[in-house]
Amino acid sequence: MSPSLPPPSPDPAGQTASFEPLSPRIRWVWLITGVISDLIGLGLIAVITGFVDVRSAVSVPRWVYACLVGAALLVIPLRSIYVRAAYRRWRFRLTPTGVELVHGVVWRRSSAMPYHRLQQVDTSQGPLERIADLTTIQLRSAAATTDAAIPGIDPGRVADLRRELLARAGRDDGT
Amino acid sequence: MMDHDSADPDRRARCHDSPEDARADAPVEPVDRIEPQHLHVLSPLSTALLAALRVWPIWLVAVTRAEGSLFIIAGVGLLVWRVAVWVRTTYEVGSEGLIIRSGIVWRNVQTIPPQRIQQVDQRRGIRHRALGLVELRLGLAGTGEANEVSLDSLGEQQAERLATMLERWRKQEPHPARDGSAPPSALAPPQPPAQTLLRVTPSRLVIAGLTSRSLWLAPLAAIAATLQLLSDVGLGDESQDTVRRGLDTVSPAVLIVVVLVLSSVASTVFTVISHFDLTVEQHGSQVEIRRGLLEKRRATLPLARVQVVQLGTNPIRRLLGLATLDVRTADLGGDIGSGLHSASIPIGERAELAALAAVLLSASSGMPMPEPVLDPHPRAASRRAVIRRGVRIGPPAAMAGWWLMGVGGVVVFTAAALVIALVAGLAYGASLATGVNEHGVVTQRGAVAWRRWTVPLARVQSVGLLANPFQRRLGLVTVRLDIAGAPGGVVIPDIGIDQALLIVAATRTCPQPDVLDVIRSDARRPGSEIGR
Repeated sequence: MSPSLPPPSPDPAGQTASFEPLSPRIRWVWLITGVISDLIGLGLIAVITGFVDVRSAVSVPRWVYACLVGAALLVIPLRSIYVRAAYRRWRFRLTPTGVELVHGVVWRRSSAMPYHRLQQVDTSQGPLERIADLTTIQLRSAAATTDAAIPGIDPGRVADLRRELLARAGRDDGT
Repeated sequence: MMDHDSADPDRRARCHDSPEDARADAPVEPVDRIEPQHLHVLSPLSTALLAALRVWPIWLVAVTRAEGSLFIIAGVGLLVWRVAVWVRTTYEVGSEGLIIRSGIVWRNVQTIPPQRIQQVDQRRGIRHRALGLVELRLGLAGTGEANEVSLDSLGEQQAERLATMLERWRKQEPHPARDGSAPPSALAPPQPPAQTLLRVTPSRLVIAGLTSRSLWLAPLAAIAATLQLLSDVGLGDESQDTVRRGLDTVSPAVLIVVVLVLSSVASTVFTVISHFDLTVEQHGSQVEIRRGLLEKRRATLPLARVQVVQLGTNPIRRLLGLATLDVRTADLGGDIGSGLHSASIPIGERAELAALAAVLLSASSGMPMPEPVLDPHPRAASRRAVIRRGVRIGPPAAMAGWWLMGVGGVVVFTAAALVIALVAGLAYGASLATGVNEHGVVTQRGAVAWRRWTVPLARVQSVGLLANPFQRRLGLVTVRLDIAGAPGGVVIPDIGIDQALLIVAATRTCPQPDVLDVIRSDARRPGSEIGR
């Protein structure tokens, strides 16, 4: 390591800022979207398999269909486990210097952005999120690759978060 | 993204409320104005010529069918359209910045605050030079389509006046340091005389064209062609006309070679023409890059706008001591990746380019930026590189072996693939090195195509850390530095967790070590906070 670098000074107040979980209702949103997309995927495979079976000389063995049905039955339990793990892993916090998020089950991700880099705060609600009354907050910096979307925020928290973030956002174009 | 000021009221309001702007309203010298005015009178002709090139099938039809009327109608139509555009397009410089009004039916007003301009390009294509005109392009921060504003075409004096005015205004604008480490943008009030930093001779450009990537396939193609030739001749039927047969077998091989030669000649000619007489000059706090034989291009790049610098080379160029330099500002022009980004240098001596990079980074990183000590990545990174290559090329090699030679082939081909994976992986792993100091991060990688990125800390927007289960087991993590103007960011793969911590701490974005604990934690470490 380069000797000129001072040891990382832990932010004094940062120690007290603890990670915040997402709203527990986001699990239902994730579960439903996940199950729907899984079933669509399996359905597509089934349709293609059936097409090959009927329209071409290749005859698809029975066990392929059995596997597809089995997979369809397993979708809900497997998704539930995954969503549980994903929810447990998702954390974010506002430190005195910036925003930090940590998430991911297999690929573990963490991103950090100082407030002075913040250019824009977007909020959005998908159809399921609207039903669950949750909001996604997307933070944008001047870099296209900044990965800072916080899903599943309770309505009571959204306005606070947004105000707090914008109050500390950068004042120039941040480049 | 951030171009749509109108769609982003928060940002706009902030811009007008901030104390910096209040100071900017009381400038040191009276801010010049440019009253609303049109582009150059000849601009319709110039842009009609460009449009005419785009609709070339019409001319083809007109010529082949010998229809003079079609020719005239299309030509007059184009010219009328461009004149209408010209009539409806005006620009002015007012208190808000550069204001461009355009649009024949739907009126479009664009307001560009000077401090958002990242880079100013002047282009003189053949059509411009014939008419004595200039196209002025302003690169803006952002990733949308609207991140480049083009004024096509201005008279030479018009363009010069506008460019210098915008530049002067930009400098008056205080450019606040965004954190303690960011130096104020270099506002050296007395302008030192222009200083030539780099000049690329045409012979260098020929070398650049000849050593470009397309040439890599040449030896492979030659081997393939020879193999094919040998096997065909070996199997040749003696009863046939040997000359004729020889021609038949030679032709595909010759064809490949001819195509390769032609493509490398074309790439060389293209390189020489587009970068002809490349000159880099420093004018105080900005750098001017001029180039081009047919189309003359001049990029003006404020040093304080430089985001990241990438030095790269390949084995042939390394033998010759040559390299390329890619410079990024926050403007994401359409030229990214083509090496034609208006600030990239296609060829130069490595030491010379490293010196140029140091100058370019001087304003962004504190001058002069001391080079950090580069530490190699952990040995586990080499191990991962070997395994990844083995997994990637092993199975295809085994299948190829089976297909060509049966079971024996599987063994031979797989063994060969694994040896290649071992050598390539070890070489790649050994090439990984990263260093950080209080000014910036330097990371390099690549055994064959070697590249080195220098990122001033003041230009890092945010930091991402990424670790999959394999990486976690080996104590490795992938760091992504998010930078405006660098699509994909600068990625540092498979770095040791402690080294990653140093980088993260240096960027002052999340100095809390527990974030890394979180990344590090897996099933075997149930004690970490996030494991609950």
